[in-house]
Amino acid sequence: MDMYDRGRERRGRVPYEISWWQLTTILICSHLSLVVSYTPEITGWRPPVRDAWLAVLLAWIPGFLSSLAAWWVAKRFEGQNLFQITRRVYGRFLGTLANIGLIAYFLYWATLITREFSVFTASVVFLRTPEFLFAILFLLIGFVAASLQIEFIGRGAELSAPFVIGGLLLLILGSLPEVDLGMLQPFLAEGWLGVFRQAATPIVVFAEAGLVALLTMPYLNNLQDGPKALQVGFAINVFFAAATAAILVGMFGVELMALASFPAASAARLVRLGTVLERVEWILVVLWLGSMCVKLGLLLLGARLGLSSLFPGIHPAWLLSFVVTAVFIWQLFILPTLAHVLEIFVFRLRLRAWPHLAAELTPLLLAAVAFLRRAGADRS
Amino acid sequence: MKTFLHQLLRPFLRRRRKEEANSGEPSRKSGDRDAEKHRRREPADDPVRTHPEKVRFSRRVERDLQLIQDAFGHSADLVVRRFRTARGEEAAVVFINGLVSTPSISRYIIEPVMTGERPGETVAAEANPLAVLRDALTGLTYGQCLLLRDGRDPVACDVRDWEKRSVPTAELEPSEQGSNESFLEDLATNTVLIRRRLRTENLQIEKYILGRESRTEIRVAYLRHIARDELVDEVRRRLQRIDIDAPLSLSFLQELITDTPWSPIPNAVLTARPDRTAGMLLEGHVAILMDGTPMAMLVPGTFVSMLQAADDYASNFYAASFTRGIRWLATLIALLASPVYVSIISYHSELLPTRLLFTIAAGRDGVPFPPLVEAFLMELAFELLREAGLRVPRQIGQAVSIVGVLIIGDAAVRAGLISPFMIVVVGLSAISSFAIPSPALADTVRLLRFPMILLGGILGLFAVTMGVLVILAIMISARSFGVPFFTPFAPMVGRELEDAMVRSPAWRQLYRPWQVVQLGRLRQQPSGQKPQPQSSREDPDGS
Repeated sequence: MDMYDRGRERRGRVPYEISWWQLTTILICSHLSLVVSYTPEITGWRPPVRDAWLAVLLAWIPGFLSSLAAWWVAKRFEGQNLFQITRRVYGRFLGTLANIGLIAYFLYWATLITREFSVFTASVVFLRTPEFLFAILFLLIGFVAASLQIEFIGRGAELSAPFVIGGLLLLILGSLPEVDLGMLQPFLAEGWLGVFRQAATPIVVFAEAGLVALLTMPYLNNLQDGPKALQVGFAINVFFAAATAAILVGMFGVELMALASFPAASAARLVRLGTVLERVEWILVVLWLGSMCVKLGLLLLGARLGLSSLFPGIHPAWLLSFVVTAVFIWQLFILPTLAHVLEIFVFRLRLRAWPHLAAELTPLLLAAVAFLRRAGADRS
Repeated sequence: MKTFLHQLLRPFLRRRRKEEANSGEPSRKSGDRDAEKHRRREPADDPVRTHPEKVRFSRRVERDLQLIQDAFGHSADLVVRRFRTARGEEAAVVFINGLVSTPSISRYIIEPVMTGERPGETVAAEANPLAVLRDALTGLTYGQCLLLRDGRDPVACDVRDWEKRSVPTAELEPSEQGSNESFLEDLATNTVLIRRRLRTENLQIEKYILGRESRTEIRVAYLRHIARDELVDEVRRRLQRIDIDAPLSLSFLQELITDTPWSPIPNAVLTARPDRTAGMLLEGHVAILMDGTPMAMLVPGTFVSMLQAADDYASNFYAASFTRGIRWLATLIALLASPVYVSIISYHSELLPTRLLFTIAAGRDGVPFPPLVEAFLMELAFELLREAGLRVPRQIGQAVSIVGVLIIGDAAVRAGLISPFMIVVVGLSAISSFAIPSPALADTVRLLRFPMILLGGILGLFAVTMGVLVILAIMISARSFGVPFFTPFAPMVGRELEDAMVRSPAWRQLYRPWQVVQLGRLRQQPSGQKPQPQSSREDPDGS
């Protein structure tokens, strides 16, 4: 019974709806889940500069512009999902090709995330458990989330975002007594060039928001709220990413940071809460799990929606099963060791994976082509 | 196939017949002989038995009496009293013994008709002419008396009077400072208890008869200007599609109208308190009451509403907010205390401060079971004690609990079977489960605790968190009559958070829940309800 689920009753439009706050929390979950696990603003360039926090403050701008482009596109093609928009903008043939590319990218991204998160879990907390076990568990939860559609992912993000924020707050506040401000000084010791180098990886990570926004924005119940959701989401992400970077550099110093695989988890091991808890890395992991599932669910949903646009006759559940199976098999063959996973966040190597960056620029490209071709504009 | 089966079962059937003959039990051969005779006499498609709603009365006493007696199969408690009216016409009254007031029948039905005081009519307060047999049968089972006269439609007079309890105190959901009235098994009284709290013409009460055999009366109550039309229509639709022999209880009925048939989490609120029912009706919910059940079912039900108690609105809002917070905490402890303890002891002992760890280790010294088995045994023992305490008389139940908790627990610790810490953890989670106001939710939490302990024992905190995620997934994807079950948290409704985990002051409760209300979301005037007593310094006279 869908009495109050007005989203499903919108004829000729995308089914389901999310609120602006749900969109905000999806953005938060998809970014902060990475900050808690791999802290790319620190690990992107080793050793990091003392002003890594400043690099974060610069890195969000391209991602925000890309997200705004996603909002503009969603507004121009109101009521259509990403894959329908692509076909309208590029035309039937090129649009289908672009959609195939996007599906491949979502599959690749979901595979990457599954692998990254299962390696993280196996390296930080369950040292003797095979990684594929975590991949299965994560994909099962992701399957459930994706099968229950964007509405469920939105609600899940609403609940998970406060937890991941709480986990980071716990880490930041608990680490404060250990922070040596001298480690952060002198200001701009490596110059602006060092800061820009350090910003390279966060730029790519923040740019992921553009694609997340492109996927979720068409479901916004009031498109006028799009910019508000982006502003709040980016503000929270930037604050926590910058604060975490500053705390970690202030706590360990840049030399030690060059060696840490999971800086946030390393810091959490040192945090003590009075005489009650000796270390909080477990709490951090527990609070992180929900946001991780939101991100994975969203990527699986993206791949499934793309396949549905290509094969409308096949039941979505079958397509989703195919997506999850493909991701599981694929992740068995990529990034065999922790070192390989960590290299993903090194900017030089990340650039080599050009499809990743190209896909992240999709909203800007889509907006530019739509503008030039006047696609979706009111011709009357 | 049928022949083959018959051949196969023949020896068994023959032996059974022989056994019945030898035992001499009054089975179908003697005891039920009359009933059997009637059954055989009636063809399977007799409309009196199969479609009484299609059988019309003939306005002839003998014939109509025969219809009713045939329908009841000459039941022993069906009483027929024949007499003649003052005009000499044939007449009869029919009723079921025990459901009616016989002095009232004599005084207000038979006497006026016989004596010619009011030859055409009775003086019963509620008397309705009937046209079809179904109405008569239902009326009789609800304590009405049928008056049959030649040449007239039968009349159903309300003279119901059966043994019932007086309004009881709310033992299941007691209140410290508020009313302690509770529903009882009588539907009419329950309706009155609601109406006494909502004396408005907008309170609508609809009547349904459910159950092919039980003919159970169901009443649906709502405030017509507050509850959404779609919600009321949906309740009607779901009730009308029910076609079973007997809805035995409200929980049974709930399973027939729920949105999530396989979910372990209840999604309707069951309450025995009329004040809580009235409060939820004012928020746009719909109440379903059932004859013979001292509870009301309120739909849609949300998780938040299951953690609210009537006392919240009968005490100071600071105290109410505090106790509401305690209830949330209790729910978490009831679900997670044992699984988290098992996880930490089994896998994450590094999380604990060293002194605490040594204390726990010393307590576990010599315990032969791993923490997982220990927790399972203790939780099972607790459930056993609880069940035993419920099944025996109350005085003995208390003794069973005391014996179980004090003596068996102490003996188990002394014998080195269980560690003292485990007793503390299980005791804490048991007490916490009693702090959950909704018995249905408390049962679910107790049930879910077992798989969570198992997860904690297998994969530690990671698996416990995954389990919590699964439970959250069930809750946030569930709906109750179209309303998201986990609202106002997911989807988040900012204004309604004020009355979710805390209880806001009465003057701040401006809005009704938006999902269930159709018009007039405002409960009160948006401004001016906050008390603003005149300050002594601001004298209106200016003196």
